[in-house]
Amino acid sequence: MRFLLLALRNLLRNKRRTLITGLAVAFGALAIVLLQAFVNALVRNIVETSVLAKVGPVQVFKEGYLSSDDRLKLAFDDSPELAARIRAVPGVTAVAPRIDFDGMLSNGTESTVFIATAIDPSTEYQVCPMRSTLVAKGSRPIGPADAHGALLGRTLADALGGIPGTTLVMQAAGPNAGTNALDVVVQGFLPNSNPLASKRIATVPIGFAQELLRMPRRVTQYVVGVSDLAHVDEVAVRVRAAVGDGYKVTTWKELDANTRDRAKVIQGVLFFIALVLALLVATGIINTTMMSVHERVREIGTMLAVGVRRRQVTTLFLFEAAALGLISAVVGTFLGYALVAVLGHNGLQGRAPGGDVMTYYPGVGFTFLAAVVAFTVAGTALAAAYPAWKASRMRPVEALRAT
Amino acid sequence: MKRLIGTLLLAVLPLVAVAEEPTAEALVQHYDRIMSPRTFDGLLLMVSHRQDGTTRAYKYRALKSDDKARIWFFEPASAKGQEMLRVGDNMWIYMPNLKRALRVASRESFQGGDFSNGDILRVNYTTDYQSKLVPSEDAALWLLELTAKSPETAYDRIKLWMSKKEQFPVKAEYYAASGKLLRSATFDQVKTFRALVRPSHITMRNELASKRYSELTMMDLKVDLETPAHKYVLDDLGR
Repeated sequence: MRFLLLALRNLLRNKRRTLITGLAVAFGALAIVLLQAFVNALVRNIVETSVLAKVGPVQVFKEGYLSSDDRLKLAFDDSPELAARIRAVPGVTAVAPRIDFDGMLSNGTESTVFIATAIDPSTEYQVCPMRSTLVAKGSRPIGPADAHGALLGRTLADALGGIPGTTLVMQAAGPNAGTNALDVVVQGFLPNSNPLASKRIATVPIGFAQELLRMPRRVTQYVVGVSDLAHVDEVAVRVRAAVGDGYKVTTWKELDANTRDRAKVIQGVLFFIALVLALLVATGIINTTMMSVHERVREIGTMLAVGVRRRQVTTLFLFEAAALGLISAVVGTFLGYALVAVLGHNGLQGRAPGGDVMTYYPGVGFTFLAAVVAFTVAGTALAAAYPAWKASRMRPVEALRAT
Repeated sequence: MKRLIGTLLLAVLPLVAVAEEPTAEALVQHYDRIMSPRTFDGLLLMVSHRQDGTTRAYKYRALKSDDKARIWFFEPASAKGQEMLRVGDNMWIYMPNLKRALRVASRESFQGGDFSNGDILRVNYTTDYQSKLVPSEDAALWLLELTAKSPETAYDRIKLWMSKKEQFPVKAEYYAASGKLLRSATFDQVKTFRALVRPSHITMRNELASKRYSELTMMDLKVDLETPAHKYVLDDLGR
């Protein structure tokens, strides 16, 4: 305790140096907090625009569906009993049927390939709440009254001159070999999330798809909404038990490996940047502690001569560094948190490559803030370990003679 | 006397009717016999006219024996070495660059044109469709209405016009289950291939995308021949 007080007083001996080192540490902590907040916002946006707007947290298929080359043959009956059984699973909020299919879209003179998702407007938005925002500006999501309306990717619609209100023909083959064709009314556009998808994607009501594909009351998958995305794996296990054999239950992490990997890569990059920042800050700490050891050689000699233990000398220098680290880290994380709170409240506009403008809301958790403080203190102490040990190894006689 | 003539007339009339009006089944069987003989070895040219105004010509040899068929592509260079095989309900395309055969569906487009794989490799209206004669607006043509027997066929309904004189197909319309017209075809350029006389040129129009159409020309055709069974085995593709 006495040494801790001594360490704090030592810090005030060279106020300017302490201030500069402290600022470096505080800036490092602040930068990491800010980075994490942005990464959180980015990852959340990526995950939510995929999972809560398109994929859905959990999907249930017939066994073998994903690897089948004729997927519509593995459709199953849209059974209220099965849906009710899934809905009863703890953590599940809603169940929505879907059909994924593809075909040709034509305007009478030209045609092009499309990939469509058929949704049930009465349940889909409970499972994927953000899908209702998944329309271009000025377009309306598909509602229960839209029997023959379709939302198209902008490039797909443009290729066929499909402005809202025009009628196009969708051509597709169902589980049987025959091709069928039905009129579809362009109701609006899907937002430009990615140029490649925009050329192909369409969303239609499920009843329309069942008529076109001639598979009444049959669906290719159930999409399951969960109350907390963080616990999606546990819910999937329980759903698996509820549906029984013959069905495959997958989470968005498997269905949308792309999104999962993007989130992982971004987090990996953050970790690397944090490591570099930590090294830079640590260099500063080592330097500061080294300097204070060098200019206090005679003092250390005196201490050792009057009977202070070598271990206590080490502790003194470690305390100095750790105290500096703690104060700076608290100041840095607090400033960072305040900044994040302001940004998170107002939101930041950003544009993904080739996509529409989106608003990001940075945010950090308190555990992360605590971790930053803890790591900074531990890191500064560790950085000071060598100089502190060196100080304790001095021979008192030589140290006293030093100039 | 009058009565006798009447009886005679009554007795003869059905014969006349039979001679003048073949049954729908007989016409469809005739169509299959000339347009897709039970066994044949042919050289064909398929030209697809695409919506951007470009065309592509595919030259290939086709071999058929009942419900088995095989195709070898020669032109263009991009398709050279590709092969196709049909055995019953299954179809494959062999890609020389992959050295592997991929399954294809009967409904999928044949080399990106307006014929489906089924149109080329699987023509058997006698077994796939229920046919009936319906009144035709053109007195020189029979009009047949073909209705799919199962949902497995490529089209739900086909209208087929055949000339009364030669019993050649003249034109056809192909409909989806919803009643929409998907494709229409015309048959012309009658040619004699040894003993077989038939139209040698089919133009298939895409009715949903009118800028697209494809032509299929029979350049050479040999029928009634024994084709070796080992040609219709998956392992033979690429050999």
